Amino acid sequence: MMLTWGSKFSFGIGFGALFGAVVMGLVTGGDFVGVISSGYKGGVGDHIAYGILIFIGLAMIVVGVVTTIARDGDPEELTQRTGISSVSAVTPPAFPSYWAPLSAFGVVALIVGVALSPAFIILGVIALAVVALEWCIQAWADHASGDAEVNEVMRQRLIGPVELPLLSTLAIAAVVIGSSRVLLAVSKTGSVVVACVAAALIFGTIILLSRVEVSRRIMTGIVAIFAVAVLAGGIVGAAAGERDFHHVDEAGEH
Amino acid sequence: MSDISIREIVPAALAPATPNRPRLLVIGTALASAAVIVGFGSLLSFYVRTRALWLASDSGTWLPSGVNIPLTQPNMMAITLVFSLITVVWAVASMKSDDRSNTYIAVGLSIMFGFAYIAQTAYLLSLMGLPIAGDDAGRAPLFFAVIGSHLAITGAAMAYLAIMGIRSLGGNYNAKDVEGLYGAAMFWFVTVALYFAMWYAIYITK
Repeated sequence: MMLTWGSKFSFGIGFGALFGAVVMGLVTGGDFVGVISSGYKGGVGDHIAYGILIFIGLAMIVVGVVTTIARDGDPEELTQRTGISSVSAVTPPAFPSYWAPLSAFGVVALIVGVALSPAFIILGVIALAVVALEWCIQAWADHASGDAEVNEVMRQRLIGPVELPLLSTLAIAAVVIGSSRVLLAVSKTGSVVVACVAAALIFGTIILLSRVEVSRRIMTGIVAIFAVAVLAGGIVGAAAGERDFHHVDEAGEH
Repeated sequence: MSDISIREIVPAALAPATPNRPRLLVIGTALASAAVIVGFGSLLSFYVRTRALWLASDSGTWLPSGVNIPLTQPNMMAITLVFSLITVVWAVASMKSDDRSNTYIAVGLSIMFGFAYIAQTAYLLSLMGLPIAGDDAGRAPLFFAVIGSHLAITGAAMAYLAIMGIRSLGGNYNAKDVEGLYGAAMFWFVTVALYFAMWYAIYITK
């Protein structure tokens, strides 16, 4: 089987990285048997440099094998191998999809939650579950017919009744969890100030947006900035920890 | 019963959807797999280097006193994941034969093996009793970071396989187009290969 250009490139980098790992191991104090046997017998020198080069080599060999099988996506070869009459061009999505950034939000919330607060774990799991559902339906609807408008109508008819409640619940959960971490971290007076400023900002932004013509892109950007601000504030607040609360005992004393 | 159906929404005269370009998902998965291999490999290399520096400094054993890594669970986890490789290949092969029933059984079994692996990891961690807090040397956080990363990769592989199973159920894939399952199977193989790297570096060489 002839190797394609893409696979030659990948295999070249892969075997080059493996060779580089051997050289790196030897020049950083490893012995030959250790370097060849990945440390089974003897040292490999600098573990990090050696390890990264080994894994880059393996990763690029995986990519090389796949590009060989896929024949670099060459349309003529693909038609012969898959038995289809012609290979269609890649069609860009007709409408913007926000599921990728939302899934990134969910993953970040999950990671932060593992380190800082269980509340963020719940938020991350909910976000990823919603994204999985929405993205599946989006993928199905995008290929339901040859008309992008009809596809969007189909998607709306299928997920529309639950989409708004789902996304609203997610947004409310994100705001509540994120802002509550901030309010719990700052002082008692500070929390009142932060809440007032945040409320004024939201109110002012909504008033402003209602009076001017704003494109969908700008609106999306504002929502994205707000989401990042809530998440960042929540992370900082959770990392700082809650302030000391004075509990009232039965006698009414602090 | 609702009187709204998809058939009413889509006029019969509509043009059929443009078929997907072949191999796109497989190539995308290969690139994602390469990123995962390098990322996880770097973390594992860092773990091995930290352990080597610790041992070279004569600071005592790598594992804190009272902590032991039994071999039974890691070996059973390895066997479980090898079984899952068979079921993943079974899923792809049955879809290539348009045998959907076997595809669903195989996908379900593969995900079940994934859950079994996660459960065994949790049991192993509870047996080891390695406290994550109070370890000034940072050994425990590093240990949990490597194992936790692999659990996250396994979770992603399970989600990928589950979504492709659902899409197969929805009719997106058939004997002529098994790309989604191919991609999920490839990522599953990478996940299992990374487990064996971790198995050797952490559980065997300790």
